[in-house]
Amino acid sequence: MEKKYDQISNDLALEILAKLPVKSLKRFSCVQKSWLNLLENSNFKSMYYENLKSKTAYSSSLLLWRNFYDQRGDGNNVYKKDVYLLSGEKYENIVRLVLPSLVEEYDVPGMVIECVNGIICYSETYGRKGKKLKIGLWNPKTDERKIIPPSIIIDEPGFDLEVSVHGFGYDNMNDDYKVIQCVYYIDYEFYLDGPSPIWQIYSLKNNCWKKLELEMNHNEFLEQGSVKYLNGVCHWCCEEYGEEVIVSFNLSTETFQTTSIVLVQRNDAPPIRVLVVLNESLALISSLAENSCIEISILGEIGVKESWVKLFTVRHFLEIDFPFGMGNKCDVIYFIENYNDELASFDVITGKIIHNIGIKAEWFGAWIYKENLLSFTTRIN
Amino acid sequence: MGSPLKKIMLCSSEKEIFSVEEQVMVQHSVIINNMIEDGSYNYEESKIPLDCVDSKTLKKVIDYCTYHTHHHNDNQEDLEAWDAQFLNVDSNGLYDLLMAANYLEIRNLLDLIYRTIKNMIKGKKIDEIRRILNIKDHGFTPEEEEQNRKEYPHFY
Repeated sequence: MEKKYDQISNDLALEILAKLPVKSLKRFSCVQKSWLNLLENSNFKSMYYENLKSKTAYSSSLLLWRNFYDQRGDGNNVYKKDVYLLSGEKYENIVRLVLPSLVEEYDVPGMVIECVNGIICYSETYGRKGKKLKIGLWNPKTDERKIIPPSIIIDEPGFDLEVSVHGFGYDNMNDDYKVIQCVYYIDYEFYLDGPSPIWQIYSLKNNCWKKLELEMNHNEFLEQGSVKYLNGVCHWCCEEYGEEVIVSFNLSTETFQTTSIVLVQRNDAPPIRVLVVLNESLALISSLAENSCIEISILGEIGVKESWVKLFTVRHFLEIDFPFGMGNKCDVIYFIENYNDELASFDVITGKIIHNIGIKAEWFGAWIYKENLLSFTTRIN
Repeated sequence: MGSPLKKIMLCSSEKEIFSVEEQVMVQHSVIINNMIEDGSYNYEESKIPLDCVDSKTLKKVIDYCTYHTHHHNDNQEDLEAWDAQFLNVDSNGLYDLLMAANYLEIRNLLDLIYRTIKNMIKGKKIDEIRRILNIKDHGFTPEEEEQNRKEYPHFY
């Protein structure tokens, strides 16, 4: 039997490897020495990208959330928010969704935090100085809604209190949906150190918050793109002793791991980072303004900084401005500054613009949206 | 393009002759399509010698091409079920098919085999991957191999 079975030739083996998920590449670099730097082999690279594209171009929709200035007839511009579902080859099918209001006030600021299993988690701020936060869950397909009850937050005299939602996702071990938030204290007058931040987690099943006895790093400037949910884990970018890291919080075990971001050379201006999901892996888009280039790297394994794999470098691109997000066809969505701040998408493989989306935005976020007919509130005990 | 009724002859490594509808092979094999198009195949006398493909494998390749020619309108699920059944062979058989599909340049069969092997090696330990791909010389020195084992213990 053994006599005929020769080693598969390298060319054929590479065809097979090109079909594997990116996070497997590190593993395969240990199988055979000639596979050490596969992505430097231009032949392999083009095979790899082709497969990546054919895999990501599926028919799910893209959920797009934006903030924009609404120009009213009376000359006053109103800052508003909007949510859309985009689908089609060129995102040409645009459906506007009306997020159910969480508060009674009209046109309050708000943002979409995450979209998981067809459920949108979003927040609205209201009250004096816009400091009160309400979080809601909404499945647009079934119109099922849930307003998350407020957590208990203790004021500290002399300090301003900030609440920042760091993630929403599905805990598959307990069949539960969870929200994680950080409460921190800031002295805006003298910048004195306040009490340590408090982490709280909400369980939909128990319909209540509880305090987490963890000392995790938080991000005080948590903007769209800094948090991402993937497979039971919420990830966010932050700093630890002056070093950029990703904190990965496991919703099932309620523990966390940090991974250093070491992949990009230090420039004078720190790169802008956006966490995205690409090819079932956590990926990081780094925009290096000075080199006018964008790098996309994939994290092979949480906690292992050696497992970053740099996938794409898109150089000398048009002026690209923060923020940006991943589309659903291996493309990046971004602003075109010269076109009235309309959104467009470019192909990460060729670096070329695919098309303009024609939606204006001041700020936006994008998530893959998959329809879900299942009820999520039946979990509540 | 050949007419659907025309037959061509394929000759295996054991010199066994297989008569196949021309259309079936032309549609699937880049090599045979080229031979027919450039007129290098003579219907009266020629048979295409496939010295590196044995009869058993050639029969399977012809089965694949015939089925996919006549069932290309079937729904995707049925075709995938048929393909899975078709590739339910031992590793020698899979290897022979891979070589034959590569030689004859049958793109969809190649893709199918690649995907099958991909699923066999996905998430496997290094030694197992080497066994499946039959890699005897991995090129690492014992020191390098030791270093890799230390650095990525979960791969081993």
